Amino acid sequence: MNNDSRQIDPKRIVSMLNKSTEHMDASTRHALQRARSRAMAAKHSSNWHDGTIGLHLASLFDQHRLSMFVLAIALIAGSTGYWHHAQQHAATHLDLAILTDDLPMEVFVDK
Amino acid sequence: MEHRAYKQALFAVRNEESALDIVQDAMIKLAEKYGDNPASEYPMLFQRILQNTIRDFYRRQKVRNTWTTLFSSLQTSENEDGDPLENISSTNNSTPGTPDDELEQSRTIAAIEFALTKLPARQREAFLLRYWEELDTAETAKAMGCSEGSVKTHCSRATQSLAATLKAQGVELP
Repeated sequence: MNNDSRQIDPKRIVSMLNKSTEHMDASTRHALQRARSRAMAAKHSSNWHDGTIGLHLASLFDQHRLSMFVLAIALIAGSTGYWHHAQQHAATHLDLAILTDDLPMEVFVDK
Repeated sequence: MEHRAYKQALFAVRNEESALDIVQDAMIKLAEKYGDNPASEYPMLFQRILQNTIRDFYRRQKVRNTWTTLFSSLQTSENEDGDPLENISSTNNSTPGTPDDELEQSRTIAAIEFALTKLPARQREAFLLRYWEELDTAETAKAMGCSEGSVKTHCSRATQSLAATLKAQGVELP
């Protein structure tokens, strides 16, 4: 085999390959078209998903801050309520003791 | 783009359904992972994904073939009486009544496609990326994950093999 027979112009092969893609059968063309549509749908879905995750993270961050605020309010309210309840309970206890004439010794002690 | 990709996959795996699956997987991967990249990067990225998807197919097929060989030794083939020509996919679309030149072209295309399927995978990959996809040597090397020198060697050997195979078939390129 001489050198000439071992050389071939790739462009001529490529030209024939291009013709072969032009003559692709209809079912294959449709299948490839469907595949492209699916890929595009996946891209949109991916973008939408990324956007959703972004929004979700943002709202999650806001929710976190909100929940911390609500928790702080609840703690303050709870503490205040407990203190108020404790004061009321002490007063009731003292009133009862006065009524039953069962006052503890410390009441009479001048502090 | 997808038509050439399909042909590339078909030359590599020699099965139409698998080739379609490979192209679809590659397109979805491109869209999902690199959809936000500049459009100018798509051809290179797509080729890299496509070649990787083809390699993944080879790996899966290797595992599958191991099991198939194991089980086929235990049972007789159901297709023993079938016509083997039925299993050869027709790549030319010549129909009865086609003009002579069109028939000749179909034969040439079929011969080229046959010659391409006979090339070693890396040579075929390099040849198609470099000449059909028109990537430059550096891009082809990047897509194939090898050096530019290897690309040149693969392309040169592929061209020689194609010339030899076509000559052996008596095919003259127009």
